[in-house]
Amino acid sequence: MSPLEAAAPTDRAALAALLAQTRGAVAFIAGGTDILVAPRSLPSAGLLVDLSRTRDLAGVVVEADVLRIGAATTLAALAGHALIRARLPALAEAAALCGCVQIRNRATLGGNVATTSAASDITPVLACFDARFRTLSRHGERLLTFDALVPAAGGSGLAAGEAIVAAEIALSGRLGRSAFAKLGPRDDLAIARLNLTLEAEFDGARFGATRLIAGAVAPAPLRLARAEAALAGRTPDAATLADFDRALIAEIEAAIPGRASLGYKRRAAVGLGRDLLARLIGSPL
Amino acid sequence: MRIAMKINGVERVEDVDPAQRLSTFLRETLGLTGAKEGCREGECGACTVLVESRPVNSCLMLAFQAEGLAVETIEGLGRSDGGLSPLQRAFLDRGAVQCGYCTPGMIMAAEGLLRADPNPDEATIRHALAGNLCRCTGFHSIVEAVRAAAAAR
Repeated sequence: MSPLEAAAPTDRAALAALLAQTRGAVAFIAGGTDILVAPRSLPSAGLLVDLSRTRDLAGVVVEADVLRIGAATTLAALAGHALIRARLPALAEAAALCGCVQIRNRATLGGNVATTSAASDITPVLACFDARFRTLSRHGERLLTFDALVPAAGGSGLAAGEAIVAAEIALSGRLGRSAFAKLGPRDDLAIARLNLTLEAEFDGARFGATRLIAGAVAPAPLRLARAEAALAGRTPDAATLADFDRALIAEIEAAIPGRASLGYKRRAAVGLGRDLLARLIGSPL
Repeated sequence: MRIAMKINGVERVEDVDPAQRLSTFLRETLGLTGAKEGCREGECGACTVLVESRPVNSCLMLAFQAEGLAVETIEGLGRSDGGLSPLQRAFLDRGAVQCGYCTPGMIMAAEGLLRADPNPDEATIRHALAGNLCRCTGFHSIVEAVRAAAAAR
């Protein structure tokens, strides 16, 4: 028999008790859509904890104007959630563009973040919304900022034996509109070559504050401050769009200098950026 | 470890290795070889089964994760008298089966779609089957079969 043991805590209290009493190595699995893909591999020993059936780790609640998304919430559930579609459409759009139906029915928000893939579709959206994360380990619960959990240099701020249990997004102070766009080898089941998430104020004539995040051009989601500045306070006229294009190109060139993909990602950023602006404005550019 | 789950409507209690994939468990322990392990990385969809009526890649799920859940494979889709289900029949009638390797996964993905959306349009069908590859490239007939099955429901 395998020295690997498995457990599936039924709720968060059971998970906390399990972690508190376990002294050996602990690993986690949720949807399994990443960890079971070669060349990654399951641990050969220790305790493997299944989070996919931990009841109160799945679902979306709002408390004190903070949206809390359980880490075991599937991407299918995120994509179809009415409140998320209405208030944080970029997150629903990103979830709907992940993998395929089979993947979205299993893959989870927490798993997507914990795998720390540079090509994640969900993590850049959470960066754009400045999400915080609640985690649980044998040492108890922690509340981590986005940058603490997803360091700019790559890797993960999770300690060994520590699981994400929820992401939290403040609903107050949001910029009003958001959208997500992605370039992949095909429409479905594609790992992003580049994705952009934009959140912006737009009063029908002029942009206000904006946040623009790129994925798949750095070890962690990258904020594109120059492109944000090209929009802030301006109308979406030809001069603004030209400045926005130039800023996007400069940001991509600075992010991946000399990379073989630079040529097409420079152009793709402009295309995705303009797609996002058109959707935010609600009309063709 | 010992787990209990419902396979094609029948309660089963089985011993599984914690690292065993659901696809391997179905094929090698239970002899349900309809689901194919084509790629073992979620690309081909040939291993698609329904878990709680939702299509999933059984190669990307561990068997123990199915404890307490209802799993349906192509072997459980037919009528109780041994005949084909209307969806299976539509695949035959529309020529949607060529080499047949992708067919069980394709049908289970389509079955999951039709349970959630009994009257899907063509774009919805194509989107729902995007995770299933047919290397014979018979996609048009497959979509036609799903449309025909939906119309007959």
